[in-house]
Amino acid sequence: MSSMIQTAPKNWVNTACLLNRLGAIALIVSLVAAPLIASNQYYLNVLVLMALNATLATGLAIVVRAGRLSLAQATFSGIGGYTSGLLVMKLGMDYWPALLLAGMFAAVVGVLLGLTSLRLRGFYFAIATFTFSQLVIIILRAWTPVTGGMSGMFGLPVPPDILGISFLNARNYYYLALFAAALSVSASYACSAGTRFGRGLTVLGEDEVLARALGVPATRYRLYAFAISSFIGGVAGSLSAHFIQGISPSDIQPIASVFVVVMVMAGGANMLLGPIVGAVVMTAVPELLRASAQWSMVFYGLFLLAYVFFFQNGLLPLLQKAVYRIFNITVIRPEYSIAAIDRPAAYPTRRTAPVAGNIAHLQFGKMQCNYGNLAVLQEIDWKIENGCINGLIGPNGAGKTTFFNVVTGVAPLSGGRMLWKGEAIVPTPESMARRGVARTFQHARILENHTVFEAISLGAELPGSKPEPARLEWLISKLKLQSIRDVRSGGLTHYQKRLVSIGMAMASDCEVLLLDEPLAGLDDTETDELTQIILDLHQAAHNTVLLIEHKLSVIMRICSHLTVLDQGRIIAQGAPKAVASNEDVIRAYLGDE
Amino acid sequence: MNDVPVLSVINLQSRHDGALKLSDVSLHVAQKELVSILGANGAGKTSLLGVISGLFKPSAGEVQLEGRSITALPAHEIAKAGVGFAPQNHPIFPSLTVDECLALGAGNAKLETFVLFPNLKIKRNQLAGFLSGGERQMLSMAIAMLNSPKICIFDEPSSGLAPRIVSQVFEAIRVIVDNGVTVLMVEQNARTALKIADRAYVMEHGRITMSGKAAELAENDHIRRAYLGL
Amino acid sequence: MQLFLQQAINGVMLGGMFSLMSIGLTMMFGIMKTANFAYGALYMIGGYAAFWASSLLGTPYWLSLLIAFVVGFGMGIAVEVIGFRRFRGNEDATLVFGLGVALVARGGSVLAWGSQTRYIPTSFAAYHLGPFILPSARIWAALASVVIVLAVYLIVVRTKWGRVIRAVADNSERAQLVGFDTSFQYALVAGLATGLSAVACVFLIPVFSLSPTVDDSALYTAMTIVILGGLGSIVGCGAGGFIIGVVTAFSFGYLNSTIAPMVPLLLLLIVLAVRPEGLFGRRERAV
Repeated sequence: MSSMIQTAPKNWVNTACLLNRLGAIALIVSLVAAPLIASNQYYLNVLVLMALNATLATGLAIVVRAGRLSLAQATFSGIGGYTSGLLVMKLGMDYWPALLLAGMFAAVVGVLLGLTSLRLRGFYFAIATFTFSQLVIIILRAWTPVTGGMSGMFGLPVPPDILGISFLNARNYYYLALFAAALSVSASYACSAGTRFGRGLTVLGEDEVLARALGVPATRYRLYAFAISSFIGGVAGSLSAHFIQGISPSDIQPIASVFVVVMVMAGGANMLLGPIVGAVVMTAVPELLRASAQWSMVFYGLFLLAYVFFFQNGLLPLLQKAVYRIFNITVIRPEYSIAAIDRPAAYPTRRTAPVAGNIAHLQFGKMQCNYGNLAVLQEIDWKIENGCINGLIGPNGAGKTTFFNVVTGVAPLSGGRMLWKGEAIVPTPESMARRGVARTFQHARILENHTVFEAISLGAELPGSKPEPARLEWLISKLKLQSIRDVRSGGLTHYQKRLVSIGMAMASDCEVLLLDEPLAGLDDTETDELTQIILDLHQAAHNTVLLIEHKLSVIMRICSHLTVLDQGRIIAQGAPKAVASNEDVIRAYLGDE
Repeated sequence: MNDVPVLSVINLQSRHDGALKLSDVSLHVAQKELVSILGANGAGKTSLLGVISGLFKPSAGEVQLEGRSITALPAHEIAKAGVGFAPQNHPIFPSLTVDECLALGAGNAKLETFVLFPNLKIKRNQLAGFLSGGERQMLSMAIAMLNSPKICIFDEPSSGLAPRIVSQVFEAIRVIVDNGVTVLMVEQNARTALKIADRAYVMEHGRITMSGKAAELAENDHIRRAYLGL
Repeated sequence: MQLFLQQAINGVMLGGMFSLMSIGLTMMFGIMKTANFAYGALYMIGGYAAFWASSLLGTPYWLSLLIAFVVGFGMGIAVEVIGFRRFRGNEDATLVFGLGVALVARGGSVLAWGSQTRYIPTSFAAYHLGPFILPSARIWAALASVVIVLAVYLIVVRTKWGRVIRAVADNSERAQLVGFDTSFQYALVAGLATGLSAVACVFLIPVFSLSPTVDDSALYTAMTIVILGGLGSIVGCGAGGFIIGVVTAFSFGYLNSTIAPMVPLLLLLIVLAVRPEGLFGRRERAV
């Protein structure tokens, strides 16, 4: 392999881990000890506000990491505050159950908002949340008998004592708020690296196409994220309202939601403690400077500009990079513990060599795919041979990638039938991933922010199977990725990324593997190496491979069956040698004689 | 007769996302020639045209138009200097009518186009987005010729088109050259390209591997082998 | 009945001005694919430029308008060249940049000029047409708005520059290959868009007055109109402007002023949920 392999020394990983842990401990200690230093009433109030902002921001980060920017987090906090206020004041409920109900009501509203804006992304989604926040404010202002109208509610009681701890004391309230922040961080952890759901959600936010291809149920997961994030918002809002002992619509102007966004981005959405750092900085700095509301606004604006021009990941990653540089560490992001095991002798799989006469996994009868009025694929009759490497070739625009897209449920099955193991089905990305169909893409889609090992492990886990360490190790060593297993995928060479994408697809022991031009852009040495790897992987796994390629010498060498597509139709099919001397095929490539 | 080639490419090297797309590519196109570049997908043909037209900058090497270096110029300056490039898959302006597309150039460009492509004259008031594949290709080529360029560059003019339309397109290209326009053409459809071209280059894996008169290359077995792996 | 007709007339006049207010936003979407969150803030500053010209320099109304346009034009070019150009293609960064500019502009305006509402004195009286009151400032502003929007439409659809801009919007890469400097065109469009919005702000001062908080309502009204009409469609902007103008007038006429703002917002949410591409917009292909 080329000399560009980046080796990751063991001690780097350990040092980085250690530094991360030290940093987290330092942050926690200073947060806990803060009231001892800032002990006057004013500063204690600021601390409470800061802790609640941290809670709010951590909750928002859950949705941001799932790929949606919400401009309504302050609104959910307002909903929570009003709900618990009403329950306690008008219905005489105890505070603690009211707090829980406030969170749950906010979660319900969050899910409703999520449902209405499911199809929206990016800018449209932000506008929808922004509009929603305006609507809520108008309702709160107008519904005077219930909400107190423009002036809001006041006289909200402080939470009752627990075990003799009085929450009239601002310091105790601070620790209560800190506890809420800690719970929020735990929820955030569960929604990222901590659970399978969280890992799927993270991948969804990084690359939605890849996530769906790996079987992540996008809609469902996003709604869960909204629910959790709004619940946290509601709880934080309730705690805030009962601390200030009042709430009014002007507390949750749309600009307040923008501030929460600023806190998340300032600290760093992708790191667990990032939003906390963001909340600390964005709350403390204006307070320390005794900034007026306007100066705070200018400060926040300048911060956003600095963020987008200079440090697009937030303050915490910036700090982390700086500290790493002091210790001479680069490209590491160790989140999983690394314990390499000895490579097993054989690829662990449930499959055995295919027997002739088995029902074909994939079969197509007069399949058609239309985009609008244009028939991109037509009259596709194909019974794909199990356990073989099937080549799919054809000129540009013939429809080869579209064919893959139909198999994985991304392109529409407009006509004809698709059979899986004899049964007619309508493919969706999630269902096909669960059935055991995995694919690579023309432009290698890997998870740039994850290490090689993490990415391949996710490739195994997300489609629904448990990642078997034995298989992962086998793959990593077969793909010659051992020395870079802990390197961030984004920093790899073009060839290494290809290897990782194949590793991710094979990690789930897929029944059918779709490879879309895996050799594109590789030089001769890399082409030979990867071709051999593909052969070896196939022989060990006994899976069915569909290979789109333009390097015809490779196709001729490793494919046992060849299908030629031209302008959406199959023009030849069969053994490679026969297909290659077919007149129609020659004409499609070399033109009329 | 002017000796300076209309287009010269000298030792071009280019990378994309770290992958090497072009290594040490050199070629030239003389006045009134029709030169074709052949090669399989991934050979680097489109990357080459991307660099010549100015959409990408090379990591090394030079591109000259009539002896003048144009490598550092932005794409729109290169177009104004006289390079008329029609990219792959016939990109046009879907929400403009055929007439409006052609009106983007100087006045007589429209008339010349209608002489060359009478089909387009019939469809002149139709939105470009609703043209058929063949008509779009004609329009795309016409757009490339709007400013009376010194050289026209066509990227896979036959791709995605039915064989009957393909022959119409190639006929049109031959007529364009016969009228004195210099053309550089990238094609996967090797046999037909070699029938109408004067000279050709073969690209494989980012390099030029063969070059010569089209008639000679058409007899060559290696070309057939390179495409079908026999 | 009288209330109905009065509100209808108000609505139509408002609609004309709303269209002018939103046309810049839709042009930036349609031609540059840019979601400009700083639009409201720049709109507001343009209005202030006119106000200060009028009160400090005593310029006549038409000159103040011109100054507003020029200041807006300059600001538009500035944000395009400094920010949006750099973040083209990156939706999140574009959004954040716009937000950043909006925050700085809003906070800065209050610090610089205070938060009290301002008016530009006009010498126009009100016409009385039977039982209806038609403030003549509004009529002229509405008429001028409609004329300007129409002019923009005709320029885009009929002139050579309009063709160039549409070509750039359709396929900026191909437009470059035809010899058009897309960066320059983008800057020009950004300038024009912001300049026009500044003029709209001045026209709307008699209706909404001028203060640093005006940017919020302008932004979300413009967003509503643009999404309702379809991003990038000038015709949609006109239609959307009139619809929202009439809806707003009727809401404020018949409902109390606390609830009235809800109606256009609900309309927007419904549009987003049901048909995000709006009345005249093109549906994006989800491949």
